[in-house]
Amino acid sequence: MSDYILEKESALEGAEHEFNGVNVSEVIDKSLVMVAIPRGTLADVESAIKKSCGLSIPKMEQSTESSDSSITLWRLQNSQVLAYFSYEGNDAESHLKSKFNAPVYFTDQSDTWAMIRVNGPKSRDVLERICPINIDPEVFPVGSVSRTVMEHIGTIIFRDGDDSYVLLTMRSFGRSMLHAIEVSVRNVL
Amino acid sequence: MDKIVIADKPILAIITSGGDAPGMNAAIRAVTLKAIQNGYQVFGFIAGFHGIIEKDYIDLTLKNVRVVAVIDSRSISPVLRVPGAEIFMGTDVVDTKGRRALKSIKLSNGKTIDCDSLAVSGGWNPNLHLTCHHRGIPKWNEEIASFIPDESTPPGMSVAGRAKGTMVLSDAIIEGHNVGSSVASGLGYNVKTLDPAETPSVPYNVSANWGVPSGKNRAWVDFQNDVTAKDIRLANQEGFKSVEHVKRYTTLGMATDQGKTANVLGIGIMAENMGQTMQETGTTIFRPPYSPVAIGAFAGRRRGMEFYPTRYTPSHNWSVEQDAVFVEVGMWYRSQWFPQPGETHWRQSVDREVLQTRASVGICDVTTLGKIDIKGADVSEFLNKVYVNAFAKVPVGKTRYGLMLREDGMVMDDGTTARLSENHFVMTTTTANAVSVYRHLQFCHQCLWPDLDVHMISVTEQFAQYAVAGPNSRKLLQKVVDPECDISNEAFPYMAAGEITICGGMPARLFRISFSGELAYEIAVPTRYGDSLMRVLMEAGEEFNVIPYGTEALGVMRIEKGHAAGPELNGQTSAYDLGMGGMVSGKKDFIGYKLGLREDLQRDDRMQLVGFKPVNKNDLVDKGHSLAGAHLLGLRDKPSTANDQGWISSSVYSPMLGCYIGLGFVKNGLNRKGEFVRAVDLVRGSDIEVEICSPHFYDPEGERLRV
Repeated sequence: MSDYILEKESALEGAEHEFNGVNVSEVIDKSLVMVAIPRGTLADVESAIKKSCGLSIPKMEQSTESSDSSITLWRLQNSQVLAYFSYEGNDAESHLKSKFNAPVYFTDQSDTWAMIRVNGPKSRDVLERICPINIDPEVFPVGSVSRTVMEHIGTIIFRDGDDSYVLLTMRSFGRSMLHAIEVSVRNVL
Repeated sequence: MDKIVIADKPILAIITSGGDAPGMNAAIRAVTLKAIQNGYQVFGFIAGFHGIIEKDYIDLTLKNVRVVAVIDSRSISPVLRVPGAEIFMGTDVVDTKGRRALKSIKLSNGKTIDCDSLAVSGGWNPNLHLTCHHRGIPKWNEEIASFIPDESTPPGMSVAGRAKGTMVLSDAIIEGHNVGSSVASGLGYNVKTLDPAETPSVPYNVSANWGVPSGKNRAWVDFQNDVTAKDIRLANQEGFKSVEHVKRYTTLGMATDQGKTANVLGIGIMAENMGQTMQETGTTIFRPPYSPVAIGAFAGRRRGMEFYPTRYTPSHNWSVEQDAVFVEVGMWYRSQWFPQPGETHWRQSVDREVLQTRASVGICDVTTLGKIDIKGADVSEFLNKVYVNAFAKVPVGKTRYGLMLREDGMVMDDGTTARLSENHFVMTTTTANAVSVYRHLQFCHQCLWPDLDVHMISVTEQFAQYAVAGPNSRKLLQKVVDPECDISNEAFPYMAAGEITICGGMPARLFRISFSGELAYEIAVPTRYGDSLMRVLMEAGEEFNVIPYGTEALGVMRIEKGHAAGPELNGQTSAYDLGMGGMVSGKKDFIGYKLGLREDLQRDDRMQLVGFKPVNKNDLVDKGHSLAGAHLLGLRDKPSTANDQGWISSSVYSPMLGCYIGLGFVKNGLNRKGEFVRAVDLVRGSDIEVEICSPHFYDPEGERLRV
């Protein structure tokens, strides 16, 4: 037993703010792992993960879900997918590896990002002020995912529900992003 | 009131409120003009009744200005009648006299008029810039001799009134109403039909006049950028036929008015000169501030926290608790030094941090350095192509220092790359180049060698990384590293790297690398544990008097050690210039290899990186500034550009050497060690004798690293 213990801390210390019609909260129960597909193995990988957990490789800027809905894959680059799944432990790579059963490279990205969920009937109004891409429900349906820049901050935006969006920004930018969202909330409400 | 004059004219006083009031000036102006027209004398009282009590007023009537003449190039009947002024229609001003100020003007009818000012007006130009800015192509309208917006405006934009070229005020008002109504009803609002304000329907009567024969005299077109009619013709003659090229060749319309006052005239001259129509000649893209824009509007809400985002390091909260002094490094906030009670000057804190680290152990948050995880079957081949030195056979568990060049042979960045497993490497970059190196690697992979099985992703933020430096660093780390991970000198020697566990099974990465020149490690944990690890290390290090150190002490130690950093990797230096020519492999091709062989890059008299120390150790100590930025001169040379031999790129006070030291570039420096030159800083007024020496001031053999 070590004399010292490391305590974990999320990027935004579990920030949670409720406003009239919109909630802004840090996502703390998810992990994110980059899954790189070795050159020339896309078809093999696809059939392996289909078999092991019912996942298919999504088209660009779209997502797919595993058959038990526990893993979502995002596609933002040709040879990589990002796996977004419920897991709070230390070893997201091994956790995913056990489900995937495919010859791919895993790189944990869970601590790289601050993840903020903006949801509620006013969520789109709030995001429209800071998000330069079109998130109109028709062009950005549930399950869409995209990389963009909000308030000078590189951001991934994922629509995880009718009125719910998850924004990912590099962890060090987390406070600035939260501030930007809150400013937008104040401007809109 | 009773003291203000008066005359037999009726008097009108206008009392203004304080503060900004939109539209106020226009209202005052309208009232004043109308009153003057009706023979009133007008006074304005400032700041309401305060102005009346304090007699704070100004006479708004035009005083001491006598209009001597109105000269109109149009051959029509006079439009503007000014009492006491001569009216000349169909006449131009063809010359002026007066050296420092205007004395007289000469008219085309041969007449000379004495005057001290000349006001020029060329009629209205529609406010085109908002349509043009969105790539609308302006259309020439002969009737009003102006460019007007094309019908195809960007979606959602409607133009009305004078911006559209509807010059008669009454028409513009009606048009504004109609367009506003149709936009509003399009958005689902009810629209009221209102009677337009009544204004006299004054016809707009303008004709083009692209200049008067001025003989050898210069005819100014762009008053802001001093462009003349001749400049424009010359540009055409030189082959610049496109309006965009003429703009850039002459600077016509590039001033703060973005061409509003000069461009139509300039285009007219071009069209005439080239025998084409205005439409054929076309316009450049007019943009704001085509009409005046308040500077604050550019800033908008980007003030304070909204100016740009801030990046915080994993040890930020802890550092705040320690009263650290922060510095902005790009967007990052880093601890610069950690003042202790009794320290009143930053140098005291920094010197202490250096001495204490070198004597025992210090910790510095180095998370901001770029970290890139690179995985795949071909990574070693890939790295071998981007670094100047060999990477094909780096063993698992080892770190190697690498130098990366641009294609032109100049150093782009440096850093260490560790091999954590057969197909897994982790590269570090400098803080400043974290993004550009990643982009460069992506370019190399996607465009140059797409066939290689290489996958990379930034893990800069995935890991909190701390440098633990100093002779007691291993002892400190052994207290937190799990006992099954042997980090003794034998098992984990200099440049070792590995994935380990700490604090009872927590995942971590450990690298035995050193920027300070001491026995040192960098330890990385998933960022969620970053804050906690800083606290744990400080607690575990108590028995060694561990201290945190900031970016200043980091800089002092790297300069003492002679490591090149940003000021040395300035994009003009080759590996040879930096004294790292020996690292450059002759056995492989890599980015920058071919162009690095250019003759000029091999010359001996290039600026080469060396160290400098003052002949008199106390030099500059009383002045309190370093050698940074000083230029190097021969002992008896005058400070002039011709005599300039080089410069000091980085300089600090070295507590280990007890004097200021510097890294810098001097011609043929590598062969001049032991020579004396002068470091001259004309800005701060210092001129001292320095010795050219090795850049490795401290432990040049590197013995402290390997213990």
